[in-house]
Amino acid sequence: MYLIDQKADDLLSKITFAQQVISEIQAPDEVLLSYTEPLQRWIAYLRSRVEQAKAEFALFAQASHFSQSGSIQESHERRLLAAILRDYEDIERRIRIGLDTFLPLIPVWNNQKQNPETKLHHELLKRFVSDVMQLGHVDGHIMTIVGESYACLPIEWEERKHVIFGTYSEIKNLHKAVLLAHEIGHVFYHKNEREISSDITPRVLRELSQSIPPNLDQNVFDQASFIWAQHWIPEFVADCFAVKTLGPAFLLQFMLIALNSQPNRIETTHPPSNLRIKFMTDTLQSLNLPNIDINNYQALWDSYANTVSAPNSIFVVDDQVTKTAYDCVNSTIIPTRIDEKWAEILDARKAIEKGEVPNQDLVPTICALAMDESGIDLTTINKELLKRYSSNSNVL
Amino acid sequence: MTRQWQLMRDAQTFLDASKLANDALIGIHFAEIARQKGQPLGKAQIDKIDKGIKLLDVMSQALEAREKQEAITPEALSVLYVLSQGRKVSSQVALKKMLKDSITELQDFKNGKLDEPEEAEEFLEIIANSTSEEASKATSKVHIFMAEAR
Repeated sequence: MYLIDQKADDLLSKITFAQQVISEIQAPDEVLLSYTEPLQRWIAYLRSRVEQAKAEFALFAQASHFSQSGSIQESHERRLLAAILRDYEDIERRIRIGLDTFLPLIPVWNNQKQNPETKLHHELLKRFVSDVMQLGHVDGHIMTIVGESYACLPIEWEERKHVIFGTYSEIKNLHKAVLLAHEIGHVFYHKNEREISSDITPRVLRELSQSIPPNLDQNVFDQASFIWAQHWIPEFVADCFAVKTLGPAFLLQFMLIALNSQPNRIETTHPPSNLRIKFMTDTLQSLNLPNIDINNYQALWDSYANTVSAPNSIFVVDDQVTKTAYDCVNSTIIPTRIDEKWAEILDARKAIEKGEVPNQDLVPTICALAMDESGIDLTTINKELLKRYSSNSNVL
Repeated sequence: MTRQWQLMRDAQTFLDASKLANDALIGIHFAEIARQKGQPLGKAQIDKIDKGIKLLDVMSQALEAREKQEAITPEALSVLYVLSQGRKVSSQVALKKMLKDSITELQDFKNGKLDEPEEAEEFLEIIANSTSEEASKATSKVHIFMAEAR
């Protein structure tokens, strides 16, 4: 047997394992089913890829009289073998990022639903995420799992799926859940990616190209274009979604996690925090919410950020480019939903200030908790809310 | 989205571009071996070569779109990005020429007017290898975090 055929069998055994894991799930809920169905189609695709790669190697071996006891000299044949091996690498990587990262989430999902320590929080988070998605007009079921930093895991299985993560150490601080709005914003971005890529991205890249300093290397421009298009625009869209859906509650909680000694640090994966905060406060200003002074939030942030850091003047964060990005993102497809909830949030906030449990819905209540700056102990309110919003859970 | 998952999303984009280039290479090499033996090209080989032509064509259009400041597909943007890393192609003029010549070569090769599409092969190798390398960098950063999650 050829070594490469053994490798193919190894890959097939991983694929078969994945198939077994799915078939052994007992009574999957609606959310899990919405994942396992596309995953099964993806598994069938991977299996066909391995079979095809095996068939191509068989053809190659026949055509080249390949033997494992010697090496091939003929150039086309050598390069063909390299391409076939590269195809195997491709399949392996897809297994790693499409199966190996997702399959362990199935028992975690089921466990968190049933485990006495987590099921109440898990149920509440699921409910909150579902309500925010509904509020932001984002369709579909999303797995929400506790145990990673706030994140949105995108998985490509022909159709794109997402898993939302919440941090374990903050599970009892219900107000932290507002940070998930940014992650749902990524789901919103992916669902509208075609429109954003054909509308917002070219406008930002056009501005970027008009801001190129003299003698800038084209390669640097290509890298900056990639960073804006692939990373920064999706991040700004997700931020904009979060503040247009949950308002100042998201901004305040984001400031808490973003506050550090380098607010202007450039990272390829995320825009500098300073830029993001400015972006969010400008967005909030444009919403004209009554009974709140957004300038206070910007001033609060600036008192730290402007003290410890000087503004960047490099090309990738050119003022005109960031302004264009803001104008494009803020004025396009992202729906404004916070105004529907704002009065309820303010009422819930008043109740919290009095030490009472708000009687508003979950989203306005969590937003009010997230905006609370009174310093009062929220433990009792959190406990009451857990009882209230998890009591209808069918896992109890 | 955390940096780690951002990189995973990148990996998926890079993998898609790499697969397109690699499929084309498999088609080209099978076709070269068939030609050497005096055999006609099979449909599977022609389809793969066509995919290669399509990829190069998309990239060529992406360069034009960039000049006109229009939309660029994520695959094309990711290929331009990896080509920009470490100066894999010396300049934009060279890149444009390489794309044009490669598309012509592949069409001539498919139609039997050319025995070996040297420049196209070399270019597709650069795309397949460099995008695969970027995908590898990104996937290597994906860790299994389930113990923590449990």
